[in-house]
Amino acid sequence: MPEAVLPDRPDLYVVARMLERLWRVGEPMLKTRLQVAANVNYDVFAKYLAWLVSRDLVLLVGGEDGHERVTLAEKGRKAYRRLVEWMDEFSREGRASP
Amino acid sequence: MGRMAHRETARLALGIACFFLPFLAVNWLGLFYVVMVLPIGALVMLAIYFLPRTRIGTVAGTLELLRWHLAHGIRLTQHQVTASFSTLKVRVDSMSELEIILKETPQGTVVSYKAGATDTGWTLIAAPIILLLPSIIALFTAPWIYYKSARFVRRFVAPLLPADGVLRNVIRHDDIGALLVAHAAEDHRLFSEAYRAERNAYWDALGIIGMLAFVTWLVLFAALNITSTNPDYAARASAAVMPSTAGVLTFTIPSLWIAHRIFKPRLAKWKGWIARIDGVWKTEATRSMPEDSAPSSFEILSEAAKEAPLCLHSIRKAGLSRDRESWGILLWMVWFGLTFTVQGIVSVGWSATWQPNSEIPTTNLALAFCGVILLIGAWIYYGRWKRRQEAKMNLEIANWNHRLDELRHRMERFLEELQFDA
Repeated sequence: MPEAVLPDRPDLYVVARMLERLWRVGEPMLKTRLQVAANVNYDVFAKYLAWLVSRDLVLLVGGEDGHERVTLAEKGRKAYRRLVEWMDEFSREGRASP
Repeated sequence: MGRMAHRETARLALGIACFFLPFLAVNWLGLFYVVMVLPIGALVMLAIYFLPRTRIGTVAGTLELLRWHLAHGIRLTQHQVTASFSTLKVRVDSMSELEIILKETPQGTVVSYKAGATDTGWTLIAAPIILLLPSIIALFTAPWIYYKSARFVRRFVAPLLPADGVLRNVIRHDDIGALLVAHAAEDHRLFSEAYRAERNAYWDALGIIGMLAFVTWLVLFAALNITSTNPDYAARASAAVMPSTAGVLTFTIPSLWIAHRIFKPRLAKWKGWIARIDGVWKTEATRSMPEDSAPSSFEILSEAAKEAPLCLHSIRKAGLSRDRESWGILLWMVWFGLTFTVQGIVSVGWSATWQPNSEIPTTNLALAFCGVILLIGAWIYYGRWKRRQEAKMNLEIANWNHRLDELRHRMERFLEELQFDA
């Protein structure tokens, strides 16, 4: 697993893409499938994954077939919900503004 | 057939019957009064369909929770909902609309509805009634619009009310899927409104160009007729047709092309956004899986948020008509400018043609000059108004983008700081 350090601050969209896909699938998913959903190359994906694991947003679990899978932790679900809530509140304020 | 469907059919029949009720007076008044009776029948029918509230049921639960439950349930069917304190306005289709009214009583929250029409629907109903004789058209459009609203209630709203009248198992407000559905639905409504406003503005522009072309043709035709020395009227008229038409076409065709160039990209932009948001809405409402590398719903809705000020601007501006003061001033300047100019030029032309030996009256020249000054003034005024509007909009967009950047930084900070509160 690469170092949990990202070149700059994490890209919000990449994090959101990964958290959203894990939330949507609702069960542990293969890293390769999550990487496709994140739409980044493997090196970048590995860094983001390590970063998410280090913050307890996602968990790595072993599958019966021997492949490691990724699943959304409760903290990750709450974090994603928070992001969606903020965006929703922001848009609602904007729509209501005169 | 359920009770609700029976009620719906009964009201449809009653409305159609009432349309013909005023015809009884025709025998007494005379056939000429059919013209008056038709719109009266149509108005009675409209009152029967669109004024009374129809009760759907009573639910034990707070108004707020029930409103949220109904709005969420309807949004899952991909219909636009506008929620206010005690009402939900649902857009059924391009012609029918629906108002769901909630009222808290000691027995629970009473849910009722009122059928209605969209702007397009009302135009289709009202225009024939205003023209009196074509009111007969309302006999088809009004029942159809009412039927669509009533059918929507029967199919989608009534099943949302719990059979035992007690609201339970409502999805919590903070559920991620429900939030995304509500957000996508609201954005869809906003972008659809922007698209409709822009499309209306486009048609308005075409209408104005058409009207101007007609007026200009008439003025040119009249001016050429007056200034011609040919004593034969028919020859004078036929000689004036071609130059008038050519003159009008030289400005009409470029104007139509410019209007098309201005509006087409905007229309395409809003249409593209509607399609993208529609995709998100569908994905969230059906809980389906998007394509593997498709952008997330969060990402699309965040990107859509960037367009919100432009979207609101499209909805609110509706041209000068929203700024009534400026609109009034401009209308006054253009109207009197055109009147003075045409009057002055025609009078000068008349004098020069038919009284060549007399002096050209200076009052007519002054009138034409005043008209031209007014038209130039109107042009400058409009230019300034437009620049003010653009500056205001740019400021709004800059403020909005600044707030959006702040939100994004707040989100990124939140993610970065997560490790510390683990």
